[in-house]
Parts: sequence; C-alpha cells; structure tokens
Amino acid sequence: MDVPEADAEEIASDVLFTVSCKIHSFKCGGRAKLTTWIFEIAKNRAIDFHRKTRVEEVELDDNTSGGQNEESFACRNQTMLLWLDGELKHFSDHDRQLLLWRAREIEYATIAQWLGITEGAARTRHARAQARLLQASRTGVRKAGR
Amino acid sequence: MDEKQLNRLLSSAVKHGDIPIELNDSVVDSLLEHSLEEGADDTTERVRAKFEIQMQDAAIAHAGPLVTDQSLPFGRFLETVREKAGLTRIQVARRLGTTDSDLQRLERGDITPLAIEPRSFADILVLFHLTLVSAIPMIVASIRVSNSKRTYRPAARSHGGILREARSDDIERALDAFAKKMQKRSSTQVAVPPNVAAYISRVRNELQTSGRTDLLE
Repeated sequence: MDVPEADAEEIASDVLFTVSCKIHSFKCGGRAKLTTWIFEIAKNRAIDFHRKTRVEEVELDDNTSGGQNEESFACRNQTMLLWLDGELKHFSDHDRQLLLWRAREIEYATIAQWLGITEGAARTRHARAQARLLQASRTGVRKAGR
Repeated sequence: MDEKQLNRLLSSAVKHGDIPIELNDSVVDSLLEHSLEEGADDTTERVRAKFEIQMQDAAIAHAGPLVTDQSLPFGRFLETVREKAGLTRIQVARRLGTTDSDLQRLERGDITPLAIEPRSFADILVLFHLTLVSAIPMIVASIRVSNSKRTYRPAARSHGGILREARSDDIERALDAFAKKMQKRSSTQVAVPPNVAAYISRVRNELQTSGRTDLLE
C-alpha cells in the first residue's frame, strides 16, 4: 500500500493491537475469514495513514506556492473524484476491480486468478474498461463540474 | 485526461480510500500465498517490540484507574498498578530504563521518590498515566512511611532477629500498612514539605520540557 518501511512497522503493530482489542467482535464462520478480517483492518489503517500524510502534503503545498504535483492536485479535486466514483458504478464488479487493482500495479496474472479468469481475458477486459473510462472522462468531468 | 492521468487518479483514490477496494477471501488467500514476502527477522522483532509496548500501555491504562487509594506510598501504588496490569518488574523496569532490582527497591519503599532523578520520575508518570498533582500525596506518603519504618525496623529486628533481606514481601507490605496507619493517626492533614515541593517543581519542568503538560494537573 505504498507505506514507507518505518511507518509500515508502526502500522503493523497498530494492526496487531487493533486485532487483539477487537477480536471478540469477529464472527467465526461469518461473512469473511479471519485473515480477510485482519487484512481489512490493515487496509483501513494504511488508508488512514495516507489520508493523514495527504493533509500534511496539502499544508506544505499551501505554504510553498507552486510545486504542486499532479497526484496531490488530482486527490484534492473533489469534482474528479465524484465523477470517478459515479462512473465506476456503471461498470461490472469485475471490470471495476480490474481497473482499481491495475491502478495499484497488481499483475494481470494475479488479478486474473482472483477473478477466476485467464490472464489474457483480464488484459482484454482491462483495456476495454480503461478505454471506456477514458472516453467518459472527456465529457464526464466537465459535466460533473457544472 | 490521458491514460496516465486516469491511472494516477484511480491509484490515488484507492490509496486514500476515496474509492473502496474490495478485499474478499480469495483475494486475501492469494495475497498470502503469492504476493507477500516474509519480513526480515529484525523487522519482525521491531514490530513485535512495538506491539508489546502498545499492549503494556493499554494494560497500565486499564489498571491505573482501578487503584483509587491515593494514600498509598508511591512505590506501592506502582506495584499495585503493575500487578493489576499483569506486568512483571522486568517489563516495567525495561520501559523505564532501569533494573528490576532498583524498581523493587522503589516499590518496597527502600528508596523514596526523592532519590530518583526528576527526569526518571517524569518517565514513571508518563508510563503510568499519572498526573503530577495526583502523585504528590503518594510522594508525601512514601516519605512519611519510610521515616516511620526506620523506627519500626530495629524493633522488628530485636523481637524476631530477622534481617530485612530475609523478610518476605508480605511482611514488608504489612510493615508499610502499619506505618501508614500510624501516620494517619498522628496527622489527618498532610502538608507538603519544602524538599518535596522543590522536587515537584523540578519534575514539573521535566514534564514541560518533554511536552507532557497534560500530566501536570
């Protein structure tokens, strides 16, 4: 999840601590396996970390005029996020996951395994979904901003 | 927007949790099977140490409020909280950067809090989530009990011929309780002696320097 090693250690111990505190709330035989439950906690903790560092980045940017990188600009652009969130709802579960996992640079073969499809099918579907999303972005972002 | 920008937007949205990404059993199983590298031994050890510290802090935070007797000598208070938290002397001593035998001497009242460096005393307050104000009566109680025990020890020795080293912790505790009771009889209002006030002032400075002003009141 793109967390620096020192911070990752901090997060890992936080996750263990959260797991030990909340283990009583885990339902054995419920919706997810224990490992998935723990990964969900880890994912949320990593997201918290990125959100916190994003706030710090924005504060730094505000103090230093210019030097805004595209990512922080895109992150802060609520219009684009709203458009993206709405647009992704029009995609199938598989296509949406393909787009999101690929954006995080997960290998096609790995995603294909998760989705129960071949690697070739994953590549084709991703290319189609991406083209569709790009096409939508050319008009969609402008519309959402109005 | 081009392909690169779109992927950056998607990546950032996932990274910051703006677009939720689904983790199901098959994804996690696959991650566990293929994508995760075994952490280096020293990394695992550091994570384990951090986790242990978090667990100890939580245990102390839970146990502290259970000990409400503010007339306890400081050392006995630490011992009671430590035992309720289920921690060993070695664990607490390690956190405080001291030895378990020194911690034992403090807990038993063989040394009074005034014999500790103010900085180390501030560290104890931080570890035990104790405010300086609430520690004052316990410091005073430590000194008074310690003074009283000095009188009772020769008497105990002359009656039983037992050396302090041979007395068990239970007898030492009983002696503390007795000394404390005698102090209560002789004085109901506890005044803060000037040497304690001066010490408190130095501890206050330490807490301010380390940014723990929350522990002053």
